[in-house]
Amino acid sequence: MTPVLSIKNLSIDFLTPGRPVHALREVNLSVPQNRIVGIVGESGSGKSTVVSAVMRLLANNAEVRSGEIKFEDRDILAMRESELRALRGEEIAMVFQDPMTAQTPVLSIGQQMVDIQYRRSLSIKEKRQKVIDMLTRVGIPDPSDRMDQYPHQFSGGMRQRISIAMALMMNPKLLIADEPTTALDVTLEAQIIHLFRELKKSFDGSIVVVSHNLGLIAELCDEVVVMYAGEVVERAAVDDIFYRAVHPYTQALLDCDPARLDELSQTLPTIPGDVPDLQDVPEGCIFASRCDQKLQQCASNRPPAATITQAHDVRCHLVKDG
Amino acid sequence: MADLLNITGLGVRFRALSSLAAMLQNVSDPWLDAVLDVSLSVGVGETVALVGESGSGKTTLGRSVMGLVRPQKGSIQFGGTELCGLSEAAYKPVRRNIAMMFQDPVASLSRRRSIKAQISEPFKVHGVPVDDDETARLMELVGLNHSFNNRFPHELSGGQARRVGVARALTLSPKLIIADEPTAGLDVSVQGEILNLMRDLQKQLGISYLIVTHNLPVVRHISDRIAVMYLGRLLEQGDTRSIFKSPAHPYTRVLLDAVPQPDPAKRRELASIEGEVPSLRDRPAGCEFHPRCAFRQERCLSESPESRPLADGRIVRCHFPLEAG
Amino acid sequence: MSAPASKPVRSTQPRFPGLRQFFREPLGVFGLAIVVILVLGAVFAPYLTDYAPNALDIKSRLAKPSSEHWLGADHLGRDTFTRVLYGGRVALKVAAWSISLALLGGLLLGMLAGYGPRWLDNLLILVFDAVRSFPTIMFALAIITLTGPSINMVIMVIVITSIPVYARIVRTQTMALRESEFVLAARSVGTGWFRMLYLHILPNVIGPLLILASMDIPVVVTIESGLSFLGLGVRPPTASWGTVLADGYAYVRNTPWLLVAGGVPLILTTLGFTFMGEALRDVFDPTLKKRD
Repeated sequence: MTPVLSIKNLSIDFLTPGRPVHALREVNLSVPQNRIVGIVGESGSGKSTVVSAVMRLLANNAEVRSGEIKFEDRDILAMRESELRALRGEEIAMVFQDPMTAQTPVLSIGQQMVDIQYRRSLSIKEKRQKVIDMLTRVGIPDPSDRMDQYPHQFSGGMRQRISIAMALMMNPKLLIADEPTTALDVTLEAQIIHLFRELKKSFDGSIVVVSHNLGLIAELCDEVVVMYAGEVVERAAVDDIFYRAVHPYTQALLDCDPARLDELSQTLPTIPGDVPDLQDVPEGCIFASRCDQKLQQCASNRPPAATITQAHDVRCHLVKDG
Repeated sequence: MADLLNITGLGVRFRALSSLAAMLQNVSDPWLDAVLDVSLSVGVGETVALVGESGSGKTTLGRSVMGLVRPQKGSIQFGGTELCGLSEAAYKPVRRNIAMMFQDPVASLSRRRSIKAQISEPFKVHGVPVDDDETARLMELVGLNHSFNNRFPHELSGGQARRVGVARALTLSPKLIIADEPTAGLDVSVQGEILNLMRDLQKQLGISYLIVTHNLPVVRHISDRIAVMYLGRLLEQGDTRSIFKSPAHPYTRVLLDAVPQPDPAKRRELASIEGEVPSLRDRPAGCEFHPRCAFRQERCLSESPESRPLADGRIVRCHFPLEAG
Repeated sequence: MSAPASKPVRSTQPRFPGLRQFFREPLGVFGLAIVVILVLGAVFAPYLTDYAPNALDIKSRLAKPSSEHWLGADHLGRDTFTRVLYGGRVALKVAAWSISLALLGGLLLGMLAGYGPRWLDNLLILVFDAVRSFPTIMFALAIITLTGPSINMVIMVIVITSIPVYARIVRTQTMALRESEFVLAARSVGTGWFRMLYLHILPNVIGPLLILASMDIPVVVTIESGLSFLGLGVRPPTASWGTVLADGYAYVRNTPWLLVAGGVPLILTTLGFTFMGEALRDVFDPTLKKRD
């Protein structure tokens, strides 16, 4: 089965007054049909750049150096603006971090959700019925009354549910959720995670969850892509990442999460050192300067992506291909 | 342990409507209670974490100790001095002994002043001669080398700005530091550095911390005691270890259960709680938490519970506290 | 300490990044060039011409532009080019004084209203709105008709009517800054109000305000010229672009160049300061920049 989304060898630079910033370097990832894929990384890892590239919403100073982004069998990077408009919202939809700014404040949410269906030849009544069905699915109480209210009349949690409803309105093949719970309180976060899991039962598209929150990734995803400083360092099924991580960065990241420390500790683990300067990308492995298991060749040779098992790729010299 | 900070019956209210608007809309009480009848103490060298969701009043409580918000009721005793009702001038000497770290590390630095100027600012404000050696020592203490002296806030990463915030809080050798979300906006690989730094400083200098946060996994490791707030009320406070082991208030349990676990084997099928924190404008009658409480009974709907101590010294504000285990 | 001393994020930054960017905006550089020429012309007027601005020479009455009189001469035989140069002095003097006084007043009152107690804010806002409700020109006409024409009166009128405009902007920004974390942080160490306004608020409001002021200069110059044209600004025979225009106006059928000589500097001032101000704004306040 062809994956819904496949990114091959994607490299993106940001042009600055000084030297260009090599924000993404040879990124490979694929999102199979009907799966939830998590992209996890810290700030500067390039995870949001990947999302912007998929949506073709990159900043003006971005330059795609190489690679391709395929949505099913179509090349997103080669699409014209009119094709992109048909793609966005219709086939790929997005849920943003901040539910408070994701909706137009001057239109009722029902109006906004009816407008999303402008390509459909349905009567207004049918469109409104679809909106009511969708709002019911995401758990908005009394949708037929509340759909005529404006965004500010809803609480933060309800607004994130509405964002999700809007994204799913056109039944996209791919839903991208960019830090969907980061702006929410922990009890709401739990509710939204639960909602995603419920929706996945009836929604037959794929979901990409972008987050720095390992908890969210573990709760929700089938597969995980770990990014560091513009590269994919490891990708595997969720259990492989959380129980059998191979890349030292993945291991260190997991070790740092205080929620994973069972013993109460006086000193919290950290990853010493800084993310490398992406204007001047070091030769060799990108994580070498902070790695506690580094070998001699790590500083000079960039490790190739090695495949451990069928769905477990790692970019590290500690692993031999095979 | 002698108490450094002792808050009793504190109440902070904000005006929601002007008196004229209240009269026109026929609202008898135009005030919102952001903090309601809170009693809490912090011992010397102790770390107390104030946890809760947005709207719980935890930030307001922190700011009222700092004198940035003026409480209407109750008392705040700091080292034997009553802080409530002090004039701004009388508060000034207190500010040498209490420092605050703010939520957004970059935004809490003045945009157009150098890092060195910001760290030595408290000296100037308090008329203490600026000691360059002391500033250098502070920078070193928080792990910033001298090349940062002439930098500006926008040239720093979140972690570096956070360090500047710590250094500035330490400038006047305070006894108490109020840290508002000290890990907000930091990557997990960096947040440990800041928390370890804060802990090391506590050991060296005997500082007490009041940490305001919603980050429960972190709280478990760094605090001695925790206090859980909801809609301005303190629902449960006590020893961190025992609260994490067996929360007594249903809300505390819900809060702990809601944290997503970075372990795919621990996936939960159900969200631990329905609904959202109500607005301060619609404060529920009886126990504030009853609309969302899975254990509520008749009594909770009408009668507001009193804070009372449990056998292990915890204080819980609930008619029917959960049994241990 | 266990934590390593980390490197600054950006180690090489140009010292004046804004300046370099400014020089990449062609219109801004064009504006700056005009402004420089106008200022130099006014400052060095005595060295640029052999005539005195008020020297009468009946022989050259209404002379055509020539090598002797570059822009001709007016009905009293005064050299127009000289009068335009000296008129620039009046224009720029009025602009400099009134804009700086208005800025100073606007900053002070605006920060007081924004940072001070509520009652003071209410009072100041009332005063600002009261002053702003007079149209500038009507206000000027009324005052000057009462007191007689003089440059100082023109400056005063402009200052009084501009202060509320600046003060309002400063007040809004101060109020936003007042709630920001760095101001709370400064308050938490005990920073007093004077130090707060001077060190923390002022540097953050002054930039946008200066840009705004540079775009207001042509407005002020136009007001001065307009009042002088009506005989309510400078006292004759003092040269001003307004009086040059007024003198030329009577002879427009025979000697149109007089009108051009008085009008072109006004147009250039407007273009120059506006282009410069817009480029400065694009450089220093990128939020207002048009997207390309």
